[in-house]
Amino acid sequence: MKRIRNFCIVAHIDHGKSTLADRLLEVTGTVAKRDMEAQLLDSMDLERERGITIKLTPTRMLYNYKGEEYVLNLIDTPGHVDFTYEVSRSLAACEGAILIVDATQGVEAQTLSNAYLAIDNNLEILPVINKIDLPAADVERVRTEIEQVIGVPSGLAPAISAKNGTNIDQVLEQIIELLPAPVGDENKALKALLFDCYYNNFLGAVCLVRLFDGQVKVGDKIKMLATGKEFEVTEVGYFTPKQTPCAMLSAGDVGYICASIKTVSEIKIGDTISSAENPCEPLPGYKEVLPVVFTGIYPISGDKYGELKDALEKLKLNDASLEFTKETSTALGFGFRVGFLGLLHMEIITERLEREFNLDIITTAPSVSYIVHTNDGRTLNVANPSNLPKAVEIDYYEEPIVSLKMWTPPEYIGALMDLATNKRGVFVDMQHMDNNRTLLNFKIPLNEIVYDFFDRMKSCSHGYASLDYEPAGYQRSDLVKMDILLNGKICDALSLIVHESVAYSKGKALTERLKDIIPRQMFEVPIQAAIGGKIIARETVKALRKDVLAKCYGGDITRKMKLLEKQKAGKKKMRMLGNVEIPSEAFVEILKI
Amino acid sequence: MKKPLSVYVHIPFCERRCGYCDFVSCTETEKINQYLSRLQTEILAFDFSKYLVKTIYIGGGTPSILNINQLTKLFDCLPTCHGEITIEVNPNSLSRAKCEAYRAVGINRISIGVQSFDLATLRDLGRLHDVKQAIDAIKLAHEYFDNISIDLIKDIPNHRYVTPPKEILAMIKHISIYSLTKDDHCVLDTDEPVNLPADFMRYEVSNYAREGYESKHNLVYWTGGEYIGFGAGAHSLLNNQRFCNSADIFNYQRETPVERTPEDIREEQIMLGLRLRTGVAMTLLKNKDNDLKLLAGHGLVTLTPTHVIATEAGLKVLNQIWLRLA
Repeated sequence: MKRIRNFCIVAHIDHGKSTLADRLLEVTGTVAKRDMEAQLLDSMDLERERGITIKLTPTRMLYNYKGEEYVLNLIDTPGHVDFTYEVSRSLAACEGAILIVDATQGVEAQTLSNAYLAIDNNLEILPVINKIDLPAADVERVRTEIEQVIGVPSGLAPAISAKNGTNIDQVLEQIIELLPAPVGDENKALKALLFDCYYNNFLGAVCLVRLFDGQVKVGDKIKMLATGKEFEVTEVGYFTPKQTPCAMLSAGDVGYICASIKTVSEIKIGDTISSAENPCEPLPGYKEVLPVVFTGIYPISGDKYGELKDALEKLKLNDASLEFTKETSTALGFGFRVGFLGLLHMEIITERLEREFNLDIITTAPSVSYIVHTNDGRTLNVANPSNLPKAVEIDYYEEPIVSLKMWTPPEYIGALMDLATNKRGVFVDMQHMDNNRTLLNFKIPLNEIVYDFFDRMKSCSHGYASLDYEPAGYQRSDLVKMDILLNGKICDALSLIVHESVAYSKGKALTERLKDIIPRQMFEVPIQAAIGGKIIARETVKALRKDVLAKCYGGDITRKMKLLEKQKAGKKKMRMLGNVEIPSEAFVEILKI
Repeated sequence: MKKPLSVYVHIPFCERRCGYCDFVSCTETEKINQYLSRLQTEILAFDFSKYLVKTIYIGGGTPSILNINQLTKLFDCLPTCHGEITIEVNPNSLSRAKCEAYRAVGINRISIGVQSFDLATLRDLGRLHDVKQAIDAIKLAHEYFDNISIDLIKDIPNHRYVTPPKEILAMIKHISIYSLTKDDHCVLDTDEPVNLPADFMRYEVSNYAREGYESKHNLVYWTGGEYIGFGAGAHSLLNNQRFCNSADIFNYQRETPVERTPEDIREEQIMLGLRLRTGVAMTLLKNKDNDLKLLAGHGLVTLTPTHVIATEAGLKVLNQIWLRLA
């Protein structure tokens, strides 16, 4: 056990986690150079395409150091703010963390939040300064920043280029020298943390585990302490990064357990796995994550509901943080209300539904979960605007608030202040970290940052600012439900909860946008925005004046039919709301208001 | 029992091509005889014995470009027909002698390509005749024929549709008025009113006729009857197969026939029926009660116990109605 090191890599997005992971695999000979594929651990197409890591991937590497062979277990982590939850899961399985800082960018919002997460988990931090191959690299400045801002000694931090493979051996050396070996007792009852799982059609759920005490081998009876379910182990092993079966896993190891677990609902990520005969005390586990952004997902054609359900269930097998419940919309029919960790998460899931499952879906405006207090003293959690009680029954609303941290060079402070204030942010304080970097703290309604806040922040700071946020409770707020009426009928799928102060301007912008999106139809379509029965904005899609084939003779019939069939195919991409045809992109477009 | 059949013959020659026309045509009039001999071979190869020819339509192009000799030769190889026999003519190539020849070969309906009663419009369309020539041609035809039709174009950008003069309306039985199109789409969003006397019944989207003078030949197309087309680019519907000749005027070939599926037929019948005053039989529609109610509610169709009939307003957006009902 003395020769095991369990560690993860944490960093701000794009600071080079996956590239360093690749280099470690290569230098330790885990993966032969000829098999190297950039960002090996990002196995999903989508991850590679977007250059982001979404899922955790634990890998066992062997490294010979001073004549002894060490087992290094690396758990790659996602860097985007939406997936902080996954980071905290991998931290719980490690003793140490490599903190990568980009030598050109310095400490960013997520460098800090991830570093603090690691410190909170009592992990030993090993700072590494990456991208020294870039001309703008300033290793000494970043070294100082790490000490001053994060408070971690960085004098020994290796300066590396993960891209070119410079000084990777220093990183490996420090992992062995500076990170602690796991402590635990092989002879005690099995105590393993289930930190992730994915589904394999042949093996069932594959549980990714970290053993703290005891051992586990094929044939053992195991028990999930939280769910109480018992299983017989059918396979144990580790990842190289290929799934490699082995005889046994022991205290200190990171690997996987398969036990013919047919559905992921039978297990709970964060649970403690122990032996069925002699269960141990459960591990503290870690903070359970709650979805923060909700959206309705509907199939464009109603008969695909079953397929959508299957697809979501399959995705859920690999993504424990995905939550969904059935919902019905009068406008869109049967669909699901799906909870996400954030907007990136939402985008990824909807994209996977479309790409991997070939489904045409409609995504309704994302919403957060509000607390609604009614006049008769009830308290309701509402994530779908159409589930709100009538306006007259509502006493008041509370909405989720987050603490928002933005890091920026000083020249963009003004623009970012404006941005946050316009989004109902309340300024808390400002800290000057050094000459180049200021930290702005805001309290801001979550609702205001779920859609395009990140993009706007990037554009008003020329890409230099970074952000991070964490939930900060609920706050009473003057909110109203805004309905959109098409042809005089409320279209529930377009309803929104908005702050009173922006209701008018939003209503106007929305109706104008819809007017542009909805094609002319056989009859005039009035588009109205209403608050509690009062119309606040109106636009009209004029009726089509003419859509007819002038001539049609013997020779034309075939050609005319082709034309009409083409028009018909175009229609298939439309969704009927009452009597109005709406292109499916309308639902996404209105988010951009 | 012989099966009813209609015959179309295409004459793809013009003195000048018009920009708005997308029928197969050329100006190599010196090669008319060459074309006619191919056409004759084609017609003579067809076995008419099983059929009773109900209508014949000589279209173009400009069929009136044929001289009397050429015309007679063509009719020599055409089958006997006791029904409607139409020829399309241009005002500037019609003559008294031709009118007499038309009558002699059995032609009983003249369709005159007037296009407009506005001089500037005629010029901009590239027509070779003026308003007076058009009126004279109608008068001349009227001396020989009872059943006269004229073609007009409306909804032309920057031009005004001019209603035919009263004296002309008195001489004709049928008018086709087309909205100008480009690539099958109407050029303008506007729909100029046609201002015709009430006894011209709009029996199809673009066709108006006095009672009993609807084009029998065209109604065959619109009601799914069988027809054979001869000549370059001509189309046929026989034995539930659609086929056409290629557009290569001097070397045209019959292209591979396409068999219609029952669904093709149903969709076609709805499309064609909607264009007609007689409407679409309800029996062709599947579960469209809600759509019908909606369309009727907006005044786009009227419903009879057996048929759906597009209203004046509905005729403007027929494609949309078809998309709802097919």
